[in-house]
Amino acid sequence: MQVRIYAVRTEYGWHSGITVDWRVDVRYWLAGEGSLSRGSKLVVLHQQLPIQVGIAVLEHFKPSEAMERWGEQGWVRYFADILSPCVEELEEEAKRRLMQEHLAVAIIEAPYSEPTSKLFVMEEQKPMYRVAEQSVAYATTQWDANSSGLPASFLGEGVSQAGVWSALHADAYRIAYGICGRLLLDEELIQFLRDAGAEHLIASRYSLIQWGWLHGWVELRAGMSFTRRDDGGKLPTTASRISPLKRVMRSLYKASVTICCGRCGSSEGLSSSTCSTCHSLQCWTCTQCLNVGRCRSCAILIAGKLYRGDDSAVALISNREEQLEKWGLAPAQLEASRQALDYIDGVRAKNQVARLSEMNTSGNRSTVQGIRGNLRKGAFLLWAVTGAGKTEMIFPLVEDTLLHGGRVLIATPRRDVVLELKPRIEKAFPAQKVVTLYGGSPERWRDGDITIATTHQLIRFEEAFELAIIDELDAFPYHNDPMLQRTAERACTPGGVFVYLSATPPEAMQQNVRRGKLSHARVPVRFHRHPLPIPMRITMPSVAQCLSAHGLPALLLARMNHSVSRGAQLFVFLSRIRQVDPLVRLLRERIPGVHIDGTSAADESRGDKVIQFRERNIRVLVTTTILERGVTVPMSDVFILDADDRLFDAASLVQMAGRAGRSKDDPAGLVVFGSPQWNRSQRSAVRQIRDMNRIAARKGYLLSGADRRQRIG
Amino acid sequence: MGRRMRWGDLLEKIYGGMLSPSQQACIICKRSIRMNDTALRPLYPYEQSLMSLVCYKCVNLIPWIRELGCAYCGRAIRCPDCPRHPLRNDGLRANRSVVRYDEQMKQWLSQYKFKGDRVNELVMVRMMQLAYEPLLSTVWERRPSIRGGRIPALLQGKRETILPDLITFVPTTLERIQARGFNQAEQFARALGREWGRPVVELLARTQDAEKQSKQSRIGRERSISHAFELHQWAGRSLQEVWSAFMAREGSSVAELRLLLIDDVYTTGSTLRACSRQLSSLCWDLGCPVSIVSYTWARA
Repeated sequence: MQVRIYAVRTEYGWHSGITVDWRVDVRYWLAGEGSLSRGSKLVVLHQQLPIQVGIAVLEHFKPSEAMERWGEQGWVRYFADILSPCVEELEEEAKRRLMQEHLAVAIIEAPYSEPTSKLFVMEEQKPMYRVAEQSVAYATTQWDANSSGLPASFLGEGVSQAGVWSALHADAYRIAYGICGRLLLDEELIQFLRDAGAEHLIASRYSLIQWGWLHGWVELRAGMSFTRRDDGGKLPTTASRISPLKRVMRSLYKASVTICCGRCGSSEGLSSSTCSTCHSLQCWTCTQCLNVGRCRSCAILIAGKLYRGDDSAVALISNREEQLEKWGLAPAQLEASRQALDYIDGVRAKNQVARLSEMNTSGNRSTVQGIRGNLRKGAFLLWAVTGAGKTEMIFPLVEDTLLHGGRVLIATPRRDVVLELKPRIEKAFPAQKVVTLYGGSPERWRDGDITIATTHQLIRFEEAFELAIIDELDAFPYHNDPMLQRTAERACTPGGVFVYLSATPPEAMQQNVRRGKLSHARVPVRFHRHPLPIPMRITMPSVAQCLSAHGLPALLLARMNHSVSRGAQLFVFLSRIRQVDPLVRLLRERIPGVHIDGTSAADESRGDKVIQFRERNIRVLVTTTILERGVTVPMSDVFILDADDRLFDAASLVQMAGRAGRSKDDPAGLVVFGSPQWNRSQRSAVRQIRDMNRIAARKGYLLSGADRRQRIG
Repeated sequence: MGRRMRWGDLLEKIYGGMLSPSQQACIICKRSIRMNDTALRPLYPYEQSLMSLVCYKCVNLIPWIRELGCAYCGRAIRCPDCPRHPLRNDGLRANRSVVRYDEQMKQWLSQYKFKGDRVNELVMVRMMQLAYEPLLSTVWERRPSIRGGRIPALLQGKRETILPDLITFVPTTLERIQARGFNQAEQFARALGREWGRPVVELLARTQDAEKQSKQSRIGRERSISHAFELHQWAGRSLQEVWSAFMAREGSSVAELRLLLIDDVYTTGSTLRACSRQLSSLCWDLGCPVSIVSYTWARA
């Protein structure tokens, strides 16, 4: 992306600007009747710069008194001066092009002012649209018009120039409105426009986003940004008192500038190469987010910053209890939802106070961005056991945010879950527009009140959602991927709330809960109010040994036979993909007459097999941790073999055990841990399950008499 | 800014070197390379030197062209096309490709070309470099082994004699360079030229903006591509320079100038034929005997 830089004289002094279509800037700054115009003089550097260089150059821009008197020479000298430190990474040829003797500036003055520049001759004061007209004509005749041209319709007959600009204004606003809360690459903007049925705007998109940028509706950034450790002005200014060693240390400290991807925020995994687009020797490409489009140093990132929300709108909210009542939640769910709602209310009130005080001090409503920057994001953990009915619990939260005029995000690591959630959410909120986003989703560019997305899709959002619900936060790939966590963090507006859902929160989060740093609600019981099945232990040789000996322990087979004969569906979890097929063969021999099949991450027909398993065509499904979450099969028993394998941590054991006894009709499933040893993960998993059951019993959530059916593991 | 950044980079390198384990990620699949994997199976000799970049699994996926089905277009299986339309009609002596263009290789190339994962370039260039001697020895050396169609696994000390005298590449449109940031053929050519110390010269230019080759049918390809190339504005001069330098070095005994034309994929050959037509007519005009061989990374 090539940009131009300019300086503009306004009432308040000299300012700098960056532009992807300078004619729009001319119009914005100079058009106007007399004192109505925003600026009086515009100095545009003719040479185009790669966007990363343009942005770096403008950091060096310092307004000075002398600028008033400068002519072309003065400006050329000044631009050459501030350019020189920033072009080091460019190719020789590009560098030569940007040397002082090749630079040229155009000094453009407002039509009403005294004509001083020869470039833009003004004999008399002209109506405001003449400026734009002149500038457009000027562009096509004087400069090579390789910057984007205004579409023909803009210059068509019968359309007055003033009409052109009001059309531009309207279109720019429409785009800004559409991409509000999003962070897009140029290619993505094109896709967005195409999807929005605005193909005719694609050619003139730069004019439009430039207009949006001037009005503060969008932000333009380079694909890579520098993060500099901020010394925050705390250092003493008198240099003489600092020892030399300290000075060296400080210079090193200041020097620790790292480059990071402006989209996903990764500072690792960037690769640099020469680039024929920006003629830089070191154009960085982020390999971390390459799967969702290529973000490189010379790419332009467009962030929609139009503030859509309306602070003054206070929705009429019926009684809290009534609001909760209608969802038909179980007592434990109700309690958790109530706690979450209280928390969200608290955050909202706090932010309201902050916003008001900010407004009182600044007394200026126009700095919406500034105010929003000071707001804090809240976080709340809903720690609910497997099969607790988490989806139902979030309904009241979603409704609450929607009533407050906010937008809701439900993010989950997996695509299957997105597709499964959609009909449920749509049924619960028939009046709202629900959008699902995943790789290859047809609704990728749509805009909805409720967005259900895989975590990877959040990379295209920035400050878009008032309520972000992160489902299964401890699951692959969200867990342990700082990129996804950063993008999720960014997708939430300042003052918004995160709600994390998990049955097995990661250890760090559990610690924060224990220390009281993280607000949370615990749901220790399933929606059917029966206790969780407690795993039972079978000591048996490892699966590898069983396979090589071609036999299974009698006890295990007896248990399996029993489960099959009582009509249950059997999950058999293994730790290794390569053991799946051999074990399927072995089981088919030992349990004849029962349809047994296996699946794993490497299996392409996994989806079909899971469906068949649900439909009870397959009775025994041998699988790996791939099915540990998200699969709900009524009346199922769970056998975990090699439960002492290091791949099975406590969290995944709890998740797998959670496949059993999920339905109302068969609340007491069987869970078996089969392993040669009883290790820490198994112990911890059993303890977690017992703890939850105990809490549930203490709080009186369990059905009376249910205890009788509880198995002792 | 530049100076400051270098300090930061230096520190980061030092600390990073001290703190991070010396483990390397496979360029293709991004998983870490475990060195003990190499002990699993004996490798095709030239695969060994890829192992520092790519993991064992990915190396094993490479469908090297180890036998020539067609001595002209370098296809691994028999080719019905070359007898009907001999490459030499278009001034192209032969084509050689490193791998068969199967699904896996398609993925590698699209990761590089369309997604812009530039590190893949390292692997591809390395592959082209490794396979060069055995492949090209069947053209410029006329090794007897060509009779059996087998490509020798590795040659020792023969390299100098079969290196090209001049390397050029298939150009792409300005528009695509703008969008992609690079021309893959040029990248390959420049890297190979650097490695061998041979001149890389831009001799061709693209005229019209044809529809992307990979989106067209065979007939469409030939029709649209046949007029897509023209000579670069300074092609004559640069070739003249190379030729006279070559003559001065080798003396008048030299038979021909070896020109290597680089591209990423040979599909129908129409691109390379069109390029070679332009090149051979240029050489004819200059009166310099030339042997044009195209060398691509993959052969469909």
